[in-house]
Amino acid sequence: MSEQANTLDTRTVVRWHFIVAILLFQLQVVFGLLSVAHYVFGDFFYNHLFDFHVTRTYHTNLLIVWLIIGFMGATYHLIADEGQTEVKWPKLALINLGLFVAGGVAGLIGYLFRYWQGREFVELPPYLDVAVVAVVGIFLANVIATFMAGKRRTGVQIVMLIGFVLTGALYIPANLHFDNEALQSYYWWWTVHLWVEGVWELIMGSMLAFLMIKMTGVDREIIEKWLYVVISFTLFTGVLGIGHHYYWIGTPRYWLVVGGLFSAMEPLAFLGMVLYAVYAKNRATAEHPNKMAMLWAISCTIMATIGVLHGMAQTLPVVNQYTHGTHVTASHGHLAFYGAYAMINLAFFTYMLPISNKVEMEDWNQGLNKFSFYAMLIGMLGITTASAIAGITQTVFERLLGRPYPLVQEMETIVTAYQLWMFFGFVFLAGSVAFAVNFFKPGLKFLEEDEALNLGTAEGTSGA
Amino acid sequence: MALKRSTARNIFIAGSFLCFVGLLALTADFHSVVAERTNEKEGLTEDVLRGKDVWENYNCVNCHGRLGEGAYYAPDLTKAYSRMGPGWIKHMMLDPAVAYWGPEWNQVGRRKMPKLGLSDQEADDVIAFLRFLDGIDTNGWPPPESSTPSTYIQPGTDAWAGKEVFERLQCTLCHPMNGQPALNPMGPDLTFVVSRLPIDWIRTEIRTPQADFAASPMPNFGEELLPNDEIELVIEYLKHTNRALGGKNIAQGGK
Repeated sequence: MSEQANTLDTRTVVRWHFIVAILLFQLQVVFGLLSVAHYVFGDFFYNHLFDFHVTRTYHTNLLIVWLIIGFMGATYHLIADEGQTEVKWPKLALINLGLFVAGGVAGLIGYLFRYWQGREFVELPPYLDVAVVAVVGIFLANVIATFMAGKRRTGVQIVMLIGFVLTGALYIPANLHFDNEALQSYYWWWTVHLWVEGVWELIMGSMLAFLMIKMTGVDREIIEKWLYVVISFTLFTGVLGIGHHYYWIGTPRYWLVVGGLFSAMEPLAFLGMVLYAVYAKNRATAEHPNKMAMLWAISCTIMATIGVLHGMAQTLPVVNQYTHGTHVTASHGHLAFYGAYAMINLAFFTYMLPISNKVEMEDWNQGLNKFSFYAMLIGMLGITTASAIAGITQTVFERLLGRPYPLVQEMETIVTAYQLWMFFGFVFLAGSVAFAVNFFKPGLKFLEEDEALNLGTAEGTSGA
Repeated sequence: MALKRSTARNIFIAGSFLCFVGLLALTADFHSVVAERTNEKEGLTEDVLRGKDVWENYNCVNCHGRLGEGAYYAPDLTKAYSRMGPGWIKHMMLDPAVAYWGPEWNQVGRRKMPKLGLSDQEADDVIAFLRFLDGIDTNGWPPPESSTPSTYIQPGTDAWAGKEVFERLQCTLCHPMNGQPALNPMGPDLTFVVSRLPIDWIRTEIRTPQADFAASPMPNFGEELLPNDEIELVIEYLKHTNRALGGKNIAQGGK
């Protein structure tokens, strides 16, 4: 333990980022449940500190913050490991994390006093936006310094850096002020869409490529080439795929064609990720002892693809005219966000668990992690299905048959869907808590017979 | 495979750059038409700008949507101005719990808008903002099927009082009305009755149903049950529903 105290190395930096990210993840799930409670119980917390618009703001903001902190931790590890070096300024990295958390907490407390900028997902008030930009700047400086000091420079690093620099730059458009609400919405999408259907995929692709190189031993030349092919698909389809948000916001009609065409091709990038992940796994020279990390990584590409296909189904303009602004969108959002960004983070956390916690593989009880994997998988599929039922019912009865919104919301189908949504939210919570417990207490025997779960201990496979 | 890593990287860089250039070009085009497509010249007044700030200060978008973007906890407000009308919207903002269809809405367990404590000025500014949204050319969204004017009735109006009389007399026991089936549907649907039959004829029919059709099973509603002024209220309610659901003009002349 004393040794741990005076070695402020990359491992410690990464570990703290993951601890913070996992804790914020728990909080995000809790606020998701509070939000769905508003649907189930109607005037739950009515006229209260935690009215729906507050709980939802917390839910979405916490999502973004924990994902980005997870990305940051992964970046520190990835850049240093690929460069065969250590993070240049580890102390600064930890102070920076502290500043990020302090700023985030200030923002969340501010929301309770209704101190916000009421733009969806980017609610932080302007002075905190400046702080965010500063923190991301310090982070990038540290990471780039590490990159420069590295013994070698790899494609995986370069893609990660491009992804993160663009993520920082693209935070700006949504925070600009426009008098005309149509323009406000237009540039807001430059942040929201170009993040999640653009540059975040670079970060995700880089993390996935890194995991595959590490866990399969497949030649870097092949994996990095795949990475470039995949992110080419991402940006070639994703940048103008922004058009599927430009159908109904005051933009010219040709966007129906541009958006429809490019978004129809958006799943290609994710199909590419599935192909290369599965390809790499099958070419593995030996099975990696961290089976759960491999499971998370492969499943991540598959779930993300399903989520993106779900989205593609509603980017067809004739469909979108009816589903736009209903829970069908929420259903896609949950599945795609979880599949792509939450799962790639959870895969990376799982991969790093024995490394950053300094745990031997045989001392780590993977059974609890496996439980968390399936609980969250079932939970999220349930949440997606329930919200799709609510959304489709709304589409038919409000959008096609013209029944007023409040009446449709009280239909039995929709009420039942909200109850299901909440139920699966609790299933998901069980999974996320199990994940956290397993991360903080890797050896905890939650399921005694983990051999019975066919996991085995790492003995016998630790040869890799 | 023949493709080299460095070639793949170069394709990525060049192609992405081209796509961004494409997006910039289309953005420039949007800037050239946005004023016209959003009626900026006449529509974007001072109160709209203030209303936009109020909209953001109260974080409205995290329950409602506008332009179909936002949360789905409450109705999308893109075309609320023409659908609901400014009067009803203001009532809703200032006193949401009673602004719904009536006191029965305000029950425990039902979803409703919190009382945000907006000032009168703020409410007017938001309405101006909604008026601006209403004027944006959204390429036909929301779909026409869902754009019929609302059958909501503002409390305190004649139509509101008429609905109360209508319910008190239990007209829907026999008459289907506004999609609500009758318990024992002996009478005709009254949803569009004022566009089919002249108002005078309706007045007579309520008082003495047998005057026109001797075998009518409808009871007589005399003055003790239904004073003259209340008949007029019921007619206002019928007119309101007819108009809200897109019924034809009010029928004229004798029978």
